[in-house]
Amino acid sequence: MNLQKKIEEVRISFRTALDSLTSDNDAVEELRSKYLGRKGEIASLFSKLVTADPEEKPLLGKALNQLKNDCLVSFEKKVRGFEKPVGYSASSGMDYTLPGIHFPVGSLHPLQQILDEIKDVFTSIGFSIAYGPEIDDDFHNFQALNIPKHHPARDMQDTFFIDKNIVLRTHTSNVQIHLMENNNPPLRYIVPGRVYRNEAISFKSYCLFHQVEGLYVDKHVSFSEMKGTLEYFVKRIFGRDVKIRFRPSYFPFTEPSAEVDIWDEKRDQWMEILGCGSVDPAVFENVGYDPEIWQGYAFGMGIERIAMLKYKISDIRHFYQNDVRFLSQF
Amino acid sequence: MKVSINWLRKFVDVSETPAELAEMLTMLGLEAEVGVDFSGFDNIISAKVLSSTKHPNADKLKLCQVSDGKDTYQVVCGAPNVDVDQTVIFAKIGSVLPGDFKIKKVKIRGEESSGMICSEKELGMSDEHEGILVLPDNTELGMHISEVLNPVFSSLELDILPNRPDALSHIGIAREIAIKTGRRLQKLEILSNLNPKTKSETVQVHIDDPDGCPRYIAGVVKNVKVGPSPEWMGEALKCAGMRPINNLVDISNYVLLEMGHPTHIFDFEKFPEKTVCVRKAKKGEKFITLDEEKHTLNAEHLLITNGKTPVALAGIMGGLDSAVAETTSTVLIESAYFDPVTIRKGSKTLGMLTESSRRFERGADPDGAVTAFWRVVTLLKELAGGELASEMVDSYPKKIKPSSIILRKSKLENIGGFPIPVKFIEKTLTALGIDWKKSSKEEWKCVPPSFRPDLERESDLIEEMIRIHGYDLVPSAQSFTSLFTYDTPDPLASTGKIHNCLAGLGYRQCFHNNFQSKKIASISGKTTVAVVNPLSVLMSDIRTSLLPGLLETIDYNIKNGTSNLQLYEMGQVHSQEKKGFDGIIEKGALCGVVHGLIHKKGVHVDDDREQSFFSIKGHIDVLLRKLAHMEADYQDCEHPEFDQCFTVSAGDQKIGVAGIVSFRIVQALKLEIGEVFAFMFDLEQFVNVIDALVPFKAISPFPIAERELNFVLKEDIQAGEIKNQIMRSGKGLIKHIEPVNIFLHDSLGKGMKSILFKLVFQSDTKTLEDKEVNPIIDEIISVVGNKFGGKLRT
Repeated sequence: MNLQKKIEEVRISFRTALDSLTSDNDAVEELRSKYLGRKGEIASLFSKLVTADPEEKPLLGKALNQLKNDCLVSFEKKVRGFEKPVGYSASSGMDYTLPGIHFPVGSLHPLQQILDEIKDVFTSIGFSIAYGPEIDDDFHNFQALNIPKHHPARDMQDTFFIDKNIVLRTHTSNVQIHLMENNNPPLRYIVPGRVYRNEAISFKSYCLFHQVEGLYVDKHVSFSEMKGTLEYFVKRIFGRDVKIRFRPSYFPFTEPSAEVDIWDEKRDQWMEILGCGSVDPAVFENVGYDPEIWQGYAFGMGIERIAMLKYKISDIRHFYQNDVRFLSQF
Repeated sequence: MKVSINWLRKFVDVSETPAELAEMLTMLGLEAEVGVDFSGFDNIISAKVLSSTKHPNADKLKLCQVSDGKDTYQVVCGAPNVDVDQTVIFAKIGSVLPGDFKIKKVKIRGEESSGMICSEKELGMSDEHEGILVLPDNTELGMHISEVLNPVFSSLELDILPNRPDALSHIGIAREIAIKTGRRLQKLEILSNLNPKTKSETVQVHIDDPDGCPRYIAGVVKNVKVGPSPEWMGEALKCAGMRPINNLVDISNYVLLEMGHPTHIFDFEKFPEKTVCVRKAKKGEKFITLDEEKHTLNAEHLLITNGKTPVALAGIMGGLDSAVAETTSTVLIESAYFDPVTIRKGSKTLGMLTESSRRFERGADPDGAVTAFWRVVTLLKELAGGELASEMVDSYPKKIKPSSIILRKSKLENIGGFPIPVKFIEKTLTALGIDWKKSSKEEWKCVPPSFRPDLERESDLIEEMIRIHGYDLVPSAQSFTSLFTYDTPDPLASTGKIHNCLAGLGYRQCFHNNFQSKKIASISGKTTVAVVNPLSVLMSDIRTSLLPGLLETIDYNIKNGTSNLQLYEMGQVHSQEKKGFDGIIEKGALCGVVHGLIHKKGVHVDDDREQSFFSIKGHIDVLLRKLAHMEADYQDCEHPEFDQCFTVSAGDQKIGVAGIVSFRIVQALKLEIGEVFAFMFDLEQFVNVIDALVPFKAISPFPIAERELNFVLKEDIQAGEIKNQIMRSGKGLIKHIEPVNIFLHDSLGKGMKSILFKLVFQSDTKTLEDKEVNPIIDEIISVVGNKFGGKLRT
């Protein structure tokens, strides 16, 4: 029988034996020594190579090497398969009830999530986003917004001072002024950001919070359009069936001014969620816009308040405590 | 402000329940809640005390028999004023008092008590708890409490915004109800025929500061008899939240609450020169107010004097010395108009917010001063028998001119965005007390009343029109107009990608307080921005770094059961780089920290695996590869917040630092935490790198060739140095190189290690063959040998 034929016979018998091999250690060792051992079948084929026709030798040698390699690889692959993965048993397969491999879970802060939602709603109806300084001068935070020094409206916002005329902004409305100083109308922006109030820390107030300010200036921007736009916003955030009311209020930088409430079924009362109004002509005059030509609306809302209403959180301090047991719920 | 509904009825019909009235006023911009309303107080009724005897087992208690006209109940009562034949409010068993106080049948010191005789405090009417509430004798028995008390005592709690001084009065609130409902507003009854025939007294008024005091009205009333106020006035004051004192004080308070104008009644004996002066205080001048507080004044404060000594802090509070006493018989009435800013400055600097200052600082009614004067004179005559003995001296050096405003229908409708009929406009102008004339077809020339100092411009009238129309009736636009803008809507849109990438890597986002102690905020080595009026010394400065907040949060969570943490914050930090406002630098920052274990030992993992610098480095690599499509570059550096620190760059742009957090900070913060690894990025620079467009690079169609090089090197030589050298020698054909194994063993020689590098060669233009790769390999071996003393491991 020539060697070439022998090689093919060994290949077939090895494969048959391998296919029926079980994970029994003795059987594995037996198969290994029978074919791959020092005195195994493949080794004995190599010893026969010496007597082969010199002309066929290189070809036969290559075929033998190939056989040895193939057998080794498939043997090792089969045996590796016998080292079963965690949770595998021959009789019932994978135990899928074991935990998955652990990966750490990350999360976005609930305030970030609400802010992102708010940004989405307003950018989808044509608002751009602007940012501005947290430390600003009295002019941008108060005076240009029609809140002169010694005005009772200053009592509405307890202020942190850096200097006599420099404050930590009490609202994002300072950015309204920067925007109008640096751009010609028309313009349409929301301004998210952190604001500061000198208030004692308790379950309902913190020394800082986050606001989103809105400003839309054009020639025919009306109170009615503001009402429609903000109703759209509130319904996008709280669902289309939410009960909304606009009631008169007072802000020095808007006139008419309104407070928007939503009905809280659980508390059985109206809850304030944002303030808004038509831009006061005095504000336009302070930035050099002609109030006879330009009009518009502005609004401002607290992100914490919206998050608290939406997720039924009753203590504002949770947002800054960063307890993982809190963060992991969002 | 507390408003008595009964008092409102003197000026306007009120048929609404307190809740309906509160709703109506809220929708007019006068935020109102029900104060006192007895409608829901079931089983609480009027009853008569039939007998009252001493409790057999207690000295201070009484045993009373109480009848509701049908049944008789035995009650134990502790009130000192309970007496036979009194008509009282009786809470029967099963009733519930404010504060969820349920009335049950009890035994008190052995005697059965089947209900309670109520005090004002128990009914939530006032703080009066000294004794029970005694009703008029003619009260019918067995009536529901709301029928007995609501007509007199029901009230609202109002939150009046700073632009509406007129609404700080009962007549002001009544006017709003009249405007909204179209009901008639009853005018105040003022007797103006009280001028004396013979003027037995004179008084002179000198105003040194007409800016601070544009108008001062004074008059002298003789023969007043000080005593208690009549019941109706006491009840009205109580219902509006004021305690009755004596008729003189009560009259002034009553007029204040009724028409919103503060007046003052002085003992005229304290004016020996019969002169009233209004002047600025001198710096350092001392004054004791009615409440026996001693004040040191400055030149901003306005004083009323008797020509020699101060008698009142103008518009804020009277003086202790000039106050009316039991024996007072001649009084001086002050009814003035003070400048809002002057009063506000004075009240702010002295920390004195009074009913009077609240009204003056928002803008009182300059003409109302006259009405208020005569109202006080009228009441002094009616209730204290006083007679006006002087003329009304009206010093008005600085006339307050009413505004004249043109209201255009076109502007009103353009702002409002909906049609508003002429008829409604004119009706509302009249109801608001505005003196108007049609100046053209759809324009009105308007002069607002003196009690509405907030109406100065057309926009103020536009607001009034829409407010009275009702915000609920303003149609909501059903579509929106928009503008084309050509910039990306959000200049920081890429921060969203950062958040999502970090969340994907298992980081939790935190929000921390910006306020820190100076010590903590200074750890970063930056000069802090300090707050002049901080909440506490622990919150005196603004953070210069996000790291301390995150470290404190690690500590907090460890103490609450979670020690394996990956946290980050994105936020603003501030530092004072130069002096002054312009020297304050605000920057967006991004900081991430890891602490504890990456993997806990478990069914899939043989051993606990700790976080290390290389976990942070891996995260940074992902951030840059995923978001910026770049490889991060690291360089050794020093940083006050790290014990070991590396700069992180992408291309030429340095974007931040990473490393092992300084133990010094952990100690300074007094935290009990293990080693923390952190990265800190400048947000703007990171976003710039992310936003830079990286164009597509053609994929090479040619095969790669892989080689391995195992160098034996001195232990202190860094893998990166060799890697960079190999790259430089690669003639641009090395696509990738990575150390895959490091081996430390004495067999290599003392202080030696081996690093196995895996190299991937690929050309963009052809298939690489050995003859091209081998010379490069030889070159690398030779350079690494020459420069680093590295030898191939055999």
